[in-house]
This record gives sequence, structure tokens and C-alpha cells, in this order.
Amino acid sequence: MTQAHPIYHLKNIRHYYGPKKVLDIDDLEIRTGSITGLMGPNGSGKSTLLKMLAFALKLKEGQIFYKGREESGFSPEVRLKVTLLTQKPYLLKRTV
Amino acid sequence: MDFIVDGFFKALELLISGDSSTWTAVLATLKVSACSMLISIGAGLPCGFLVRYFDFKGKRQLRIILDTLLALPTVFIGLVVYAFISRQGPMGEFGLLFTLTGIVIGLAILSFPVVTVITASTIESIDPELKLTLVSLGAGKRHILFTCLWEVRYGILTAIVNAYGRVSTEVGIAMMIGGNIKYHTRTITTAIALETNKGMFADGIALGLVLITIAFMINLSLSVLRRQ
Repeated sequence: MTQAHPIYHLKNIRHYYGPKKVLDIDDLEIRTGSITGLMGPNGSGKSTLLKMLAFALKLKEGQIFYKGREESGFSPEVRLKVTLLTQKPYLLKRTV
Repeated sequence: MDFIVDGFFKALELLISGDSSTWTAVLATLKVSACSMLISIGAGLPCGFLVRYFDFKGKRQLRIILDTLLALPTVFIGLVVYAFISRQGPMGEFGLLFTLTGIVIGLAILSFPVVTVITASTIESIDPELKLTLVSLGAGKRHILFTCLWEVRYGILTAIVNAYGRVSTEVGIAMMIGGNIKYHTRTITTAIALETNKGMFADGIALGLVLITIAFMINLSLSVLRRQ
């Protein structure tokens, strides 16, 4: 029996803000139905990683696979599949 | 003091009786200010957004240039546009000197930096979470542009009102490029300057009243829009 693709698979992700490296992930898999927690001090890259997982921040180095398919262009189609709800969400000034 | 009061009543008489020289100046002002505002809004809003929202090489230098353009004297714009559209200028063949179109070009140059810089400053005040929210909701570049502009619509209205204020009260460009030709390129401001020099205060006051009324009506409409 073949195992289904993980929902996220991150490979060799490196991200920098100026000269400062904030993310250094060799290999990370997140499987469907699992609950993953991120812990770390301020500036350790938690928000950066979440933005990458929501396809809101483009990668500087590495690959990100979503349901087995590599996502590099971050098209509106793929961004529609994942929504990031921040701690202080911005509410648009309009009615629905 | 009496001549001012007399001038006020005579002004009302001129406006009510439909004095042709007064009303052609009013129409010319409305035409040139509306056209130049359309151009500066069409170009200035996207530029203001791009200048603030995206990072690119030379962005700081561009902001400095735009900020400098804000303080551009109107007579200098008049001079440059005159040089370009006069017969020996590069655009001389179009015959734009002493026409309303020529004035529109000058006024658009005057109001463009006002719209751009105020829009850029307004965009600057946007919560950084907005872009993240829009991107994560799958918005494309055009959608992000329009949503951001909509979120700061009151700031943009301020930019437009400011630019309109400059355009409608401008004398130098209208005088130099338009030539203050009666029934043709005479605007409210150039007419006021001329009538005051001639000692015709009633005509000057009449035109001044129209100018104030237009400004009041525009601000009133914007105030209504804000409440909605």
C-alpha cells in the first residue's frame, strides 16, 4: 500500500532578512490530520514559516511541496487553497 | 468699503442675468480643471500606489523627486509647457498654445505630484496585515491594488480635493499658456486678476463667488460620500 503524500513537504528551506538567516529547514513533512506546533523566541522564523506555508511569502532558497506538487510561483489558485489567519487579523472595511 | 458691498450685489446681478463673459470663464475653468484632474487621478493614483507598495531600485530617489515636484512653482510649469508647445518647441506642430488643451497639460503636471505623493503617504498608513491577508486570500496584483485603494479611499479623496484646490485656483499656467483670451481661454482666476487690475470689482467678486461655490459644492459632496 502506497502512503499518501504529506500535505506539506519542505526541503532545504533557507530564508534571510538582510544578512540574518531566520529559517534553516533541511526537511519537514506535515501530514494530513496532524497538529503541528511551532515554538521559538522572537525572530526565530515562526511567522516567516507560516507565511511560506500560506504561500504569502516567496522562497529565497529551497522547495515547498503541497500535496506532492512543487509550488514555486505561488499563483492565486494555490493561495486560495490555504488561508492564514493571523493573531490580529485585518478586517476589510466593507460589508459582505 | 461701499464699492465692495456694491460689487457683491452687482456680482449677483451678473451671475443671475447670465453675463456671457462671466459664464464662459466659469465653463472654461470647469473644463480645464475636470480634464486635468481626470489625467492626474488616472496617472497619480496607480503611481502613488506603486511608489509606496512595491520595492524597486531607485524608489527613494523617485520619492525625493516627487516631493520636490510638489513645490514646483506654477509659473515654472507654465514656462516649460510654453517652451514645449510654442511654435519652435518640440510639440509646436500641434498648435496647443493659447488653447484650453494647453492649459490642461500644465494643470495636469501641477496636480499629478499632489495626487501621487498624498496617495503614497496614504498607502503608507495601511496596516501591513492587509497585504498579508489579501495575498493569503489569493488576491492577484490588480485585486490587491484596488482593495488597498478602497481601504484608504478617504485619504485618496483628500488627495483629490487638495489637487483640485491647486488646479482651480491656479493663475500662472492659465495666464501663460492660455493667454487670458476672452470667450476662449479666460478662466475664473485669470479673469479675476484682469478685472481687479481694471478696477472692475463687481466682475471679480462675481467670479470669486463662483469659485468659492464650486469649492464648497465639491467639499460638500465629498463630505456626503464619507458619511455613506
